[in-house]
Amino acid sequence: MPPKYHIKTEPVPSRFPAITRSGVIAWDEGCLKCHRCVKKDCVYKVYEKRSLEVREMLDSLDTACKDCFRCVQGCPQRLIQKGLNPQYKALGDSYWTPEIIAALWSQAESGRIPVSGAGYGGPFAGPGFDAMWTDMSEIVRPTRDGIHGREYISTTVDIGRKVMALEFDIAGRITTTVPPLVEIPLPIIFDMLPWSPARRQITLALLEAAQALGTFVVMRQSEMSPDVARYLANVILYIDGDMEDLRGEILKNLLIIEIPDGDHVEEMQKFIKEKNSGTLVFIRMELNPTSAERAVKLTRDGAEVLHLVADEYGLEKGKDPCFIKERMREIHGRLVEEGLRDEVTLIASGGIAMAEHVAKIIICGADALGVDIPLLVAMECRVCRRCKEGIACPVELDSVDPLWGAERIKNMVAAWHSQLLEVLGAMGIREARRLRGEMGRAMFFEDLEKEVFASMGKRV
Amino acid sequence: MDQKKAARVMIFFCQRIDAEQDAHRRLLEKELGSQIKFFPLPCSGRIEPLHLMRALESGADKVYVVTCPEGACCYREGNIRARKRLAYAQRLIEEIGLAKERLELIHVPAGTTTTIDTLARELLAREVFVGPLSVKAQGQERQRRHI
Amino acid sequence: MSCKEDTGSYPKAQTMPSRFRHALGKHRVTIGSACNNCGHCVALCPYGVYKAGSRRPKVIAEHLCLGLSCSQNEFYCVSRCPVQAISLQLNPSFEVLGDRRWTADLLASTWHMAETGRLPYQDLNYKIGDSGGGFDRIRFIFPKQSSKEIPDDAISTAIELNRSGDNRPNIAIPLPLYLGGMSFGSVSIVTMLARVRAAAALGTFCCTGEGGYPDELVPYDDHVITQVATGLFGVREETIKRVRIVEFKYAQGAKPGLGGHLLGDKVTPAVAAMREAVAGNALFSPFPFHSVYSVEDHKKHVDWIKEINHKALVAVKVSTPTDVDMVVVGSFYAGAHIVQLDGSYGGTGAAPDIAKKNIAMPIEYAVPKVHTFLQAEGIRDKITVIASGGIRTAYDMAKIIAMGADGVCLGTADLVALECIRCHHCESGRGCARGIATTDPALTKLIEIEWATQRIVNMYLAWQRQLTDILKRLGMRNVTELVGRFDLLAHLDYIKPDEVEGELN
Repeated sequence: MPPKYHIKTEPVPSRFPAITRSGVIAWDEGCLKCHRCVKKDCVYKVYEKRSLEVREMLDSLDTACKDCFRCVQGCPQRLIQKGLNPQYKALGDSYWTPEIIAALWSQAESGRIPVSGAGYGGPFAGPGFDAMWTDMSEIVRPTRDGIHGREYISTTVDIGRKVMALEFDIAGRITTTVPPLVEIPLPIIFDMLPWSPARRQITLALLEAAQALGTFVVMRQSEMSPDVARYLANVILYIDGDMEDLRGEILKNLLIIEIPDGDHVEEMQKFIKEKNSGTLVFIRMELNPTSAERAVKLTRDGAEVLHLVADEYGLEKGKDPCFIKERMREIHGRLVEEGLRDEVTLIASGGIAMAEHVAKIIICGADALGVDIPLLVAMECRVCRRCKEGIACPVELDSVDPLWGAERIKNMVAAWHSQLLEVLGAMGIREARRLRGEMGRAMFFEDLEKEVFASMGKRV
Repeated sequence: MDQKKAARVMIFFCQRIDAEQDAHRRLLEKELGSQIKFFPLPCSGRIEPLHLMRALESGADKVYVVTCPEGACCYREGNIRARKRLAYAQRLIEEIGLAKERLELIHVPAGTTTTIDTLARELLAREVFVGPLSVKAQGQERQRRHI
Repeated sequence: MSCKEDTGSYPKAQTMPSRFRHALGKHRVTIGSACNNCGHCVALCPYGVYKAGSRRPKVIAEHLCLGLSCSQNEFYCVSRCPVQAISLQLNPSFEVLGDRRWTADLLASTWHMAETGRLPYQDLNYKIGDSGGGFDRIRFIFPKQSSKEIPDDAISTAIELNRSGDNRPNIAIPLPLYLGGMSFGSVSIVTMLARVRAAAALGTFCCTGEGGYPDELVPYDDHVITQVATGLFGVREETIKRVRIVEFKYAQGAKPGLGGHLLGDKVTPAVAAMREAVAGNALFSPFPFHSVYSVEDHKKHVDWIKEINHKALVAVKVSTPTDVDMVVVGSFYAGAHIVQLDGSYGGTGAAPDIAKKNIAMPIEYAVPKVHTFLQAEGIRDKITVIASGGIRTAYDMAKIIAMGADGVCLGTADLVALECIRCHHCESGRGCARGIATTDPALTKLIEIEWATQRIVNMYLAWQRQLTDILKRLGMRNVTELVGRFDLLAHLDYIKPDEVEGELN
């Protein structure tokens, strides 16, 4: 049995206090100076341990308060109230919700799975990833030890083209050339960021984290710098310029090169293979309604890895775009029908925002996935996209300390990894490879609604 | 005018003034960079003298507290409390020799709707404006580095 | 069968005001400095919002204020105050309360029912939440005119729990509900005891959860369901023998496929003694039963229980996977009398957020699937189906029965009756700041047992009232007539109001 993959975590404090959903509005005027003030009774000692973060004027009162309302209800003069925090409301957008951002912050800080009591408080279902549930087994499955103890649930996946059969010559020698295969200990790579402030420090944080985790960062050829040299073994170089610029030195050290899909994709792959046959080639495809056909063709033509990319909301290009989860189901299904699925590796990127999306996109047919914005959020990004408009980053991400950033990203990925184990454990599946395409072990909103609710109110 | 350009303004404001405050203030943030800083509040009654003092200390030359119209506070008297707190902070800064105009309270007039950027532009366009603060403080140093 | 013949009459509702100085309400009432203490408002308000004071009247119960709709009334204090000193507005802190499932309105209406035993009148939506799906989009189709008026006392809300036809006792409960397991350790002994006492007063049952069977519960043995769960904490032959119903817990909706986890902080010496464990050490309840790997193994366990206690009914609590219908059939053939389906959105204990939201299906899907499947197998009449996990209101209860359950099991609603505010911090630090889900000695003292018992009783009396009204409007005399009546429900996403004959509510 391989050694158990474990990500070491320790709390990494935030540079800025977290923005919380609500704020405390506590007044002193009219205070009766009670002998026993309700503020002294605070279970969380919110009023005693008070501080102010000056850059963003964040009061620790708001951050530390856990909304128990005891002071609100207890003050005889009703001088303490709560109010929704406008800064929280302004976080992210309708896809990258404040709840998602806040949960990512806490995972990056603690490295732990978010746990809470008193049931689930969110919407019944929603679009995209919120329109599916994963399965569980009542009895037959590995024990909880798989998650916390001795037994092993593997999250390792293999990236590359797999040969379906070996061929031999008359003398019994293998004639099949086995293409390169890269193993990553968890099905997550770091994809190019759709936007960010000046990236030098951020990129170093990503690389440092990828190295520690044993995964890869997709980097634009145009952004290569001498700093990156020592991380080359964890770089997927994306060709956004002239391939002739690639020096032999770099080619020798790179394990993976990513090329954009297009008319010359075969020539490009051949060119790279000629320079170094051990290099794995990813083909980056923007998802669109014809992606399934294209994936079949590329696979037939010998593609090793298809990197299927949606935008930051998980949507493909074009009018009336399809969500990544639906398109992946189609692509996976088509490849299965054609008998090609096991030959090629599919990596899905775009709109992966939470740990649950990891499991869900794999169930929908991806072998692995790329994550982007959450890496920034781990470093306290608020998904305000001010950087995109040329406005200074409110949390100064451009000057982030790469080592601190890497620790935060590691924490977040560790929490995601643990959550993937929880989902796998609940389903009784012992490895992430087997989760791929297991749509029969998921429940889809559309199917359940049709089966259960659509007939209501009609006599049968 | 030169002085005005160099001055740094911080605006604390009640969220009820502008529900889309985050989108509306961006253009100004882009134009003025670190010269302007906005702090939306759940209620203007949330402001404390300490926040105002810290704002000056961290490099603000002028601090505004913008409240919803008198009588319109959904906490009933939040904007009245804000006024009292600001007055208190004004007394404090006067004691250390600063003009009390560095802190100013603006009640949005009743019955008007505005956006935070329109309002901020009005405030920035005012003729009477206190120049940059001459006091050097630790926080201020740090703030200036980012310009 | 009328519930009264079987179980006597219901306890009386008694007013049990909030434990805190100011109850949280939707409205804010303030008396300004213009007040001349004429006392007019105190005399006017029929809801008891004011109390006379020495300088000016005191607002003592603004949560009982009718709100802005009171302006129609003769006794509207705001306009009748001779010096216009009273202001009435929405309570701004109210919007911070609650979440999409348990909205501030649902919390406040549950508190109102627990305080008074009656339905709220303060412009609170006490029927649905804001989750945008499931119960919150489903409505009853009530006939526009009820064919005949059925007197209240001719309507029975009772159900029988043993439908198997074996020779074990038939146990009936006067309301189609019992209270779900919350272990000693996860909640305080006061909370636990209050729930059991409320169950006893109402003639129903309360489950112990898996943290053992504290001696304090012994006087209420007849109303206790003891749980045999994977951790087997505190399970002893004598505890199995004491009770009328034994529950096997395979999984729970909040963390389907995952075990329980009691954090070390909550394992006080008392908790440790009960669970035969070491104080301060976190306790994992493993998943699954290490001795159950097949339906045959499951039957063996059910047989053991039946052998140890010849009179007990056996309940099996399962979660809601894709094959939930098969699971229930398996349980039936293994000899279970009751199967409890625990949907994924409920639960009271600490659980990973990812599990609560994503693993296993909501109860609104599971119950109809199971009901239909059992009908097709011809065994629906032989087993009692109890739904849990996300039942918040009397309307949820009635809807899930119409979707095919015989009754429901509740947990969170009880906690809300005890003024849980759903801050979701049950597990952190000293535990619940409001003294409900904690074993911290000081915080436990925040709750007084008589108060807590009565609050829970009050709430369920209000539920009984609502269920009776629903049955009456549907022209039914017995809640059992409601089971599986999909034709009486409409999902607003799939049916337009003009497509139905009747009133949607």
